[in-house]
Amino acid sequence: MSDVILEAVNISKRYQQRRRPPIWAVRSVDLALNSGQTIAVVGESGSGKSTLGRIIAGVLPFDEGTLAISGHRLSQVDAKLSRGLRRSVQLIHQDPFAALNPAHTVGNILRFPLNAMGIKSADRVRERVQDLLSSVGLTPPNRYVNQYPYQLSGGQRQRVVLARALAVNPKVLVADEAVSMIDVSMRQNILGIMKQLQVDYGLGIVFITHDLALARNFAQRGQTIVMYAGSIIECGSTEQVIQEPLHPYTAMLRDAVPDPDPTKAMGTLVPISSETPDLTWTREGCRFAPRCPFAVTLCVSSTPSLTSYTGEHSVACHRASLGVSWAMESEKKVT
Amino acid sequence: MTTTILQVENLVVEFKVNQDRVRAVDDVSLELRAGELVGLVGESGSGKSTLAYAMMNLLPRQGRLVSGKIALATVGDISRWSEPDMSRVRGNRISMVFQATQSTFNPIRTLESQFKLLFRAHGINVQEGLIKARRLLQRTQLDPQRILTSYPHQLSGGMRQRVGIVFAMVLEPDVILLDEPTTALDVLSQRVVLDLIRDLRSQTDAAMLFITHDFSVVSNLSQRIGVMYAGKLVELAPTERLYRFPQHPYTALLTRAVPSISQKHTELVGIPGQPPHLSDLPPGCRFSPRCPYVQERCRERTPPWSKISADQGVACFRWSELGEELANV
Repeated sequence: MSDVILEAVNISKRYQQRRRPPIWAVRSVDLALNSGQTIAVVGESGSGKSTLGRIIAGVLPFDEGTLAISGHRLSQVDAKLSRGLRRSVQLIHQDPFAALNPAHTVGNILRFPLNAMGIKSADRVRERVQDLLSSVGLTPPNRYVNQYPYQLSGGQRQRVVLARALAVNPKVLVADEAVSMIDVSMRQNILGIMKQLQVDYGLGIVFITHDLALARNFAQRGQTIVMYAGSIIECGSTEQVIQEPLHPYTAMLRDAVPDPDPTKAMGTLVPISSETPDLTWTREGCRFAPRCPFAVTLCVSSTPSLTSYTGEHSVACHRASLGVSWAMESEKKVT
Repeated sequence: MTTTILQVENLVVEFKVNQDRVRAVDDVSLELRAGELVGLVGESGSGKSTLAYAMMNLLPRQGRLVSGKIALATVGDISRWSEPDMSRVRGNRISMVFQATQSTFNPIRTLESQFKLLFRAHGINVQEGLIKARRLLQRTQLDPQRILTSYPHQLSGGMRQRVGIVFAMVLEPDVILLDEPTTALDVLSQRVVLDLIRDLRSQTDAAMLFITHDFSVVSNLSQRIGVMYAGKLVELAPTERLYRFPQHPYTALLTRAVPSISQKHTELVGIPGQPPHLSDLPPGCRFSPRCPYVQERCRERTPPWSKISADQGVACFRWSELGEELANV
């Protein structure tokens, strides 16, 4: 029996501009995360994936919709409970250099959240710090306690960031491009630690990335959400979304991922324009239509909504509901 | 028989860091041939970008080319050239595409005026040059007229990078260095840029060196790949050989640590430990502290460069005995 620990319903976030229409960073997004579950959120820059991550981590106010953590609606609880709830969702940033205060030792960085949790005695703090460092693979812990962030590599810093997040016993980790700045040889080590922590503590993980191959690798048994221009355009189990994409945009993203195997060329699907989407757009119509080689009149005149295609696999595309294979469709065009 | 266009021999580059001197590039030799694209793969601090900046004679003030040769077939060894001499060949014989597209161009000039400056600096007829630039821009699937009348900020990162590539190619240099040209781009823009590089590669006799930390990006694009680790070139081989039959443990582990979108799931493993600081290098082989196949001698002596064939070499004591094992990592 899985229980929903994080539920976002119909979340929207607008940024007002002077004398210009507002920018919709996130539009009507739903997301539900169970404990122990992984959801990958993929999209390009400007797709709203990071904004969504910061909203569900409780650090960015939003304009519409509701956010509930462990069944409590954040807008309906008092400040004290709200703090505790938001604490149970921890955000891991992309840049481990900016995320740690350079003036504090690793020991101090980990002591502050423990103090905030009411762990104050020096012995207890020392003990917890040791546990935390060991659980992220910084062993022996004593070697790191008195070090400053500048003395650590990017990978080691990201481990400290993970340890700090763990200090407050979170239920959810929101990892926003958490390994993008880490050297390739060490990425899998960090991801391995995150997976282990997930098993050990039943953590739900929202894994935000622009890298489809990485999403597939990390969330292989979980869900994947694809975002475009602030909206979810496709979601389902990771294997379904990546192996049998229903939205042409997802198919294009997948086709554009280079493979380590030199004999594998990239796929053939490409957008017809490299224009980035207009985020101020409020009129009807699919926001991907201007770049979509398969767009028909309907796509321009009405906005497709996210509808279930098979079971959990949903897509927001008028043409996908007809069950077309995009790769085949594109071959037809060529010949 | 393909002709050698550029020969880098035993190149050593040092940086002054506080009172210390560290070797960012240590005894690297590499040869580029006409019409060939060579990938240069390595993690941050491996010296791959420093190598390119040294080849362009664009090292920052703390950096110094200590020894070695950078020989272009057309003009000879340029490693000791003065700046006035160098500026005659830079862009003309050897050019570079940079990672940060926002700093490639002058923000207060239109692209047309920047192309004109480039032609004038090299004594080329501006009108003829612009005709060539337009022709190349056409290949990038951008509207040449719109691009030339634009300021850099009016273009997206992916568009700027495509123009950057045209800028580096328009004088028909012998060698084009591409330093992480797609790293700052989104997946779809990256794809367009990679397609453009592939297309242009088939149109030119220039040799290209494509520097990246991401093996996947060059694997389907390159004829050969070199792998750098902590300032050393540790392996160089034809791409498919390098991927299927890596001879250096680092190559094997690195290429297997990259997730794939097409293959069946495999549990990927990272490489234990972390790259060394250049100011605190381990004795012997620099990879030895992280190497699962390490032996006593690896910690004592630096493995020499072993030439396996004309196309392939590796710096590992154990390559001949490990070959089969590494192919199955």
